[in-house]
Amino acid sequence: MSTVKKYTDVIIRLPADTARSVLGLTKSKGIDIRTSDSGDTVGLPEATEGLLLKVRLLHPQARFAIRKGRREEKLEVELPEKIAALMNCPNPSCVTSQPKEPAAPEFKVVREEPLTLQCLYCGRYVPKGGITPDLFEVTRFIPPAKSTF
Amino acid sequence: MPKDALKGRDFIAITDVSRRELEALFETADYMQKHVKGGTDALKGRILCTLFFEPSTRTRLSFETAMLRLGGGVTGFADPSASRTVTGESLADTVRMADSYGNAIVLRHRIEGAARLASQVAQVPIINAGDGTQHHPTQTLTDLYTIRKEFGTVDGTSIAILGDLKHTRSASSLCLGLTHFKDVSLFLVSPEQLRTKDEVKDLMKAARLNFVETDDVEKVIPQVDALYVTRVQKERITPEEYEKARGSYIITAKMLKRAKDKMIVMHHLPRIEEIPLEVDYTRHARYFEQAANGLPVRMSLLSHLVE
Ligand SMILES: [Zn+2]
Repeated sequence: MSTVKKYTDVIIRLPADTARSVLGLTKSKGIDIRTSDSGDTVGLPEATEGLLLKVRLLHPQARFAIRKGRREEKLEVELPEKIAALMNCPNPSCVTSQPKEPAAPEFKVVREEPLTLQCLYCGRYVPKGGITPDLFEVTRFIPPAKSTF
Repeated sequence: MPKDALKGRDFIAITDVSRRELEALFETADYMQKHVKGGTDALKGRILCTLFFEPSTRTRLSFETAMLRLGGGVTGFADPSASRTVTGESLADTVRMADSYGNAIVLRHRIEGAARLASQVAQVPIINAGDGTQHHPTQTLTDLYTIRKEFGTVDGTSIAILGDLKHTRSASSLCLGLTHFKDVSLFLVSPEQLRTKDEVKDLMKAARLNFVETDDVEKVIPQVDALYVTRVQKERITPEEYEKARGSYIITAKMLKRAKDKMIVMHHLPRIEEIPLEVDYTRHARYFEQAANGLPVRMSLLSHLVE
């Protein structure tokens, strides 16, 4: 997964009471959070493509923009065909969930609406509502993705 | 002769091979059928490693006999406590060791995706003898071969798969196997809670395989050429559902009276109570032949994959 691509002055609009979940995904400083009943807005001075993809997966309704002076430019965060080494498989019986095994979690985007991801190792679909912030926590060494599928 | 496209390949899922390759495997199985007792020396000097992290005496014996009948040797373990759980070694490390010793590895593991990982760390062919709840490709190869032997082809047949379609890997794997064939009518008969998984249904839809989901086995029996029975396990569903399922998912000789003359009853065995003894004596019982077909089919597979 290429996380090299970086954006500056990113604005993310999210459903109400969900902005905190973004804080858990990044250590970067200067994050600006505004909440209201109609929704949350997160301002990031800097964001990698990988981070935005994580937000996109966590909140399919998220809208992204780049601040250019007083204007905002819409930013499309597109889902790649395969998502590699970005997110863990929620299936505890999956080989990628075994700490000792050298398998980097890799998913195929089966469909975008409703968002359906399939683990390329265990073959399971990530269940509805199954993408949770803890799946993005790196708790162990993740080897490079194989992409031999 | 052209090079065998299957040589050196892994066999993780039944969808890893093409229709043409399936037919080649079946034709070789026809040939191997003549050598199941006398044997051949097709794989003389080669060694098959059987790594059974989850016990399955039937599948393991079938593979080991197949290799021995091909003139090769076998090594491995049938009891995971003999290796991994004691030393705490990872699956990948055990596979690397076997990779350096053998010419092919047969792997059975509870962990889902174990065979896929093994195929990434090993140089020699990995044959999946069952992992997780979706894949058991050599069982499916045997099942498809049995249907082909009975009806001349799998194309155009009408098949019912019965029981726990959600958790039984040979049921999911057979669904995937049937996507290789034309004009198959498939009936998926199960209690509501044990229906085929979306992962499998989506692939069947993509392959335009016609299937119907129902819980009425009596209605389906007169319509099919093959009835593939699997067991509904008590712990998978509610007690009420289980009592209901028990009644309708035990196939009796009486129920088979309404079946087509040439309909066959299949089961991957071992059976518990879902097929009572009386069915063995009907003209429909084919599960023992099916089990026996596992040998020529695995001989065929090994002879194609092992270099
Ligand atoms: Zn998985």
